[in-house]
Amino acid sequence: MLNFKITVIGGGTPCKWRAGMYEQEVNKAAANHLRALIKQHLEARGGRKYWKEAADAVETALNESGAVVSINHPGVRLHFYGGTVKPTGRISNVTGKPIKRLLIPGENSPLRKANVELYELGLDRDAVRIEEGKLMADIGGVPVELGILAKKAEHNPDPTVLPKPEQMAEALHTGAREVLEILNL
Amino acid sequence: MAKNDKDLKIGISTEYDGSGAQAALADAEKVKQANTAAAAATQEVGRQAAEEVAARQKVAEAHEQQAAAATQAAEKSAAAQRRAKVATEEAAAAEEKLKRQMELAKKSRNELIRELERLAAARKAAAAAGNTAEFERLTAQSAETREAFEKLNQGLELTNIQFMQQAQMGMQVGQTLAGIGAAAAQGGGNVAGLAAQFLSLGAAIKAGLGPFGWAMAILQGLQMAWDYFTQKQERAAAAMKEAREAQAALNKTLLEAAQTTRAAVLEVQRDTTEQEVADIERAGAARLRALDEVQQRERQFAAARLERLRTETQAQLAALETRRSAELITQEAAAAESERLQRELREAEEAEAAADDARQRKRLALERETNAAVAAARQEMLDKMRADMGNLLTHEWNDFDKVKYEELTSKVAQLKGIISAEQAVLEAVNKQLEAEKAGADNADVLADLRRRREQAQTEIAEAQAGIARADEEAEFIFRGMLDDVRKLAKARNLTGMAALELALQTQEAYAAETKKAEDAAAAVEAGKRAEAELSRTADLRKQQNEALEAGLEVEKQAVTEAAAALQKKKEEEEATQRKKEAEAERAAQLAELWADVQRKSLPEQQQWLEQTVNSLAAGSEAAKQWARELESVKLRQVQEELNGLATVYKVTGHYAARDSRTQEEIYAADRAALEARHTALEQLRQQPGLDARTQQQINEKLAETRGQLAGLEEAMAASSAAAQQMLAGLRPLGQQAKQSNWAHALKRSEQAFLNMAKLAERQAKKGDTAGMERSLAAMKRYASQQERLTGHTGRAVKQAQEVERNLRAVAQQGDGQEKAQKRQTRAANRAAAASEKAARATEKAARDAEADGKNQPGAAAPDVAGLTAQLEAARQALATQQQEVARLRGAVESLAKVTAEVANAARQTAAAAAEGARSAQSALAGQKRELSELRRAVELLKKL
Repeated sequence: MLNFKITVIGGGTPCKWRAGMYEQEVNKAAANHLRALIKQHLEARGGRKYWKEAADAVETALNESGAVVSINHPGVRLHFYGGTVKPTGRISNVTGKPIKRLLIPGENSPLRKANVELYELGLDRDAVRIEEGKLMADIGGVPVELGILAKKAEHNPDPTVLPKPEQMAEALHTGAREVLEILNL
Repeated sequence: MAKNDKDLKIGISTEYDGSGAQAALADAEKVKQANTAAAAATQEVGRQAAEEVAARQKVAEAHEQQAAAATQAAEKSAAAQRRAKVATEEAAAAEEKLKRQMELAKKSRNELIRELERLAAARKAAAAAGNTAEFERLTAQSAETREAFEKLNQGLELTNIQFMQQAQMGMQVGQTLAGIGAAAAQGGGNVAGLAAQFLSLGAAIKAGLGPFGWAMAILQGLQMAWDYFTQKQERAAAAMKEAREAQAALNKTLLEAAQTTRAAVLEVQRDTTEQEVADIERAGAARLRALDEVQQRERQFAAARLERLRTETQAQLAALETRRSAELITQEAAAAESERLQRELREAEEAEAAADDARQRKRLALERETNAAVAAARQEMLDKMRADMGNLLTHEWNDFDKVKYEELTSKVAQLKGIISAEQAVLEAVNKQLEAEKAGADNADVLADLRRRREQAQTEIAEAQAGIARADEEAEFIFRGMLDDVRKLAKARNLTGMAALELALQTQEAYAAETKKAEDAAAAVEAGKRAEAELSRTADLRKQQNEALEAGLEVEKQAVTEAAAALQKKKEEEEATQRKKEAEAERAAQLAELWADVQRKSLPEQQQWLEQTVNSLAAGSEAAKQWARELESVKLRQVQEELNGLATVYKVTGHYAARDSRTQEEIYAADRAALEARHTALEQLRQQPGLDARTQQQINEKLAETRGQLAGLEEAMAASSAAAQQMLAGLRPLGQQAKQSNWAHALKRSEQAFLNMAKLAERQAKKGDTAGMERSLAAMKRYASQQERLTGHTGRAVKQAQEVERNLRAVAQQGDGQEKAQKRQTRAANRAAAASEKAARATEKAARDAEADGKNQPGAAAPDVAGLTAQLEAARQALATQQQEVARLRGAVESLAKVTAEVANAARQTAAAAAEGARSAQSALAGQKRELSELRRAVELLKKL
């Protein structure tokens, strides 16, 4: 988890606020600003669907240590940090057996185009075959490449998934300042 | 993979930084203070700006007022000028008209007709040409001509009778009439004059005018015309003068306005300059203060450093001296080390002095800088004021030049007008004269006319002279005004300039003083440099001398080796007188050289040795003095103790005497005292005029006294009863009186003996031998009386003899108080023993007497109780005296010990001092020996 810490340097806590209360307010405001920024950033990344969904999945929450801005969308974390993806071994809806390989849809794959999973295409085990490491299927009598089968997929870290750290800091600062100005701290 | 791991999370936390808050608060406070200071500064600037604006507004208001006044004056001047112009124009028109009429009057009838015809033709031409102005002018001229013609005709009619006879005269009368008519037409007001003219004319005509009469008539007419013209001229001149005055007033007002403005501007500038100067001075003072503080700290630091260095050097020198005295190092090494240490110290001190000089110079430079800035500001202001005053003067000069020019121009114009008018009159008179000459040759008339002409010329000359005078006067006035203006300007600027000049002079004087101080400092610096140079030279010479000494030392060996041979040679050779002289000369030179060497090295060591010897001698003397003082102090202490002892002895004696009284005596004495007190109180109470309080107090005292008396009576009665009871138990009543008498006699005798002994002691101490002898005789008497009373032969007399011996010893050895005391003590001891023995004997005698009382009723029996008490008292006195003696002995012993110690210490100190002096002397002698050896070596060298 990325962590940002806001340090308030001021003359003291206003007496009408309980101790710790204004920090909560600051956290809330900063988190809202950051959420807006990340949302805007993800929407601006383009793509047909994925980043828009990711943008919609940005949420804020308060906990005892402060506030958390989270992007609850599969793969975003992987994009950001990078890493190796391996099959989880869950039972496949198509084969009824544990999944052993990853299916990575190609550019022209109907899976990608329709943004559906394999089973949603109505293809069963017999309708698909493996040719040279690729999963193929005959749709309408035409062989179609559904995707590449891989034991694992490695992703490099992509820091551009999130806005630049200084931008995020600026957003946090803006939010915190707004609250502090209201509180006249 | 857990669900949490799938989400990309960004944590945000906030914390409050208190320390940062304090820092921020402090920063904020600083900023606030800075802001306050800035605000104050801004306010100050604002205030200054406001003041400046106010000053400028004042200036502007003054300017406006003066401008308004100037405008008013200008308007007045313009109006006056307009009036003057109108008057001038009128005068010019009148002059023109008069001239024309005079021309017309000179013309004949036919000429007038021709003129009229010419005018008519010209009018027609003008009308045809449409030139209205010319036409009107010609019409007026024609009317005038016609009028003249008509008047001429009229005159001709009036003089018709004479006309035939004096046609020529008639023509002149006509001309006169024309002149009169012209005068009447122009003046109009002088009707009476005109009537008189006519009357005179009529009378003349009636009488038949002769040539003289006609001439008079004509002249009178001309006179009138001239008078009128002159009046017009005067009016015009007055108007012109008024206009000029107004112009001058305007100029003056403008000048004043300009001057006031300049003065105000200068005031503002001067204020600004003063402000600047004050700022500069304040800043300079602040810098100076800061510099002073810094320099003070530097000085303190340097002084501390120097002091530390000094202390260290002193310590090192002391250590060095110790080592040298312990002969751990040689004298030379110690001297070199000492020299090095002292040189270091000196260098440090010189460096500090140089640093101090540098600080002084820096401070001076700062002061000078500030003063230069102040002086520059003031100089700038003064230059500005000077330039401004110059401008002002130039401006005033120019303005007044203009005024003068205008005045002169108008005067010249006036002059020209007057002269031309006069000339015209003269011409008319000349023409008239010529005509008269042609017509008649009356000598009188001609002479008169000539006289008139001359008079007119004289008047013209006078008028010219008057104008010249007026011109001069105007010039003078102008000069005076110019002077006034200059004075005014000068006075106005004088105050400010004087202040500035004074400030500048002060500044310059201060700068000069500073310069002097700097020069002095530079001279001191140069002196120091020269001194350093000198010392360097001296060092160089010293080094040379050392090198020479070293060389000599090296050669000394060779010389010493060769000395024996040389000595032999010398003995063999017979030195001639010349050689000796030459040698003596060389010896003198070398002596000089050696004196130089000695001067360089020896005096310091000698001085040091002498100082050392002196200090040692002084130390010895001080130790002796101290010992003497200590001795005297101790002696004083002993004396005091002895005195105290004597006092104790006296007190003891007193109490012994008191205790030796009998109870009855004590009672009697107390009773007597109480009764005396009672009597006195009774007498006091009997006195009249006592107040109630005093009465009460007296009564209380009386009651108290009575109570005490009663108590005493009771005690006495009790005592007496007890004694009687005791005695009654001891012996029969018949013997008691005798025994009492005996005991009393013995007691008295003993008391008298003791008293006499004390008296004799005092007299012995005083040296009163005669008194002592008398006392001793008395003592002997008392002793024999006691023997008589007690029946013990020889004891008391012996005792008395011993006392006498002791006392005589005391008298002989007046100085040995201690011994006398001891002897007295011994004597007292013996006396006490004797008294004890006597008491015992007395007791025994009493017992015997008691035993034999019945058998020998007449014999005396001693008082046992009294004797016992006496014995006890004697014992106590003895014990006390023994104690005192012991104490005294101890004190004397300790004193002797201390004195011995002191004397010992003094002896040691003196010995050490003498030793130091001896060693110093020996060191000196060693130096001298060394030098003499060196000298001998040099002489040998010379001989070689």
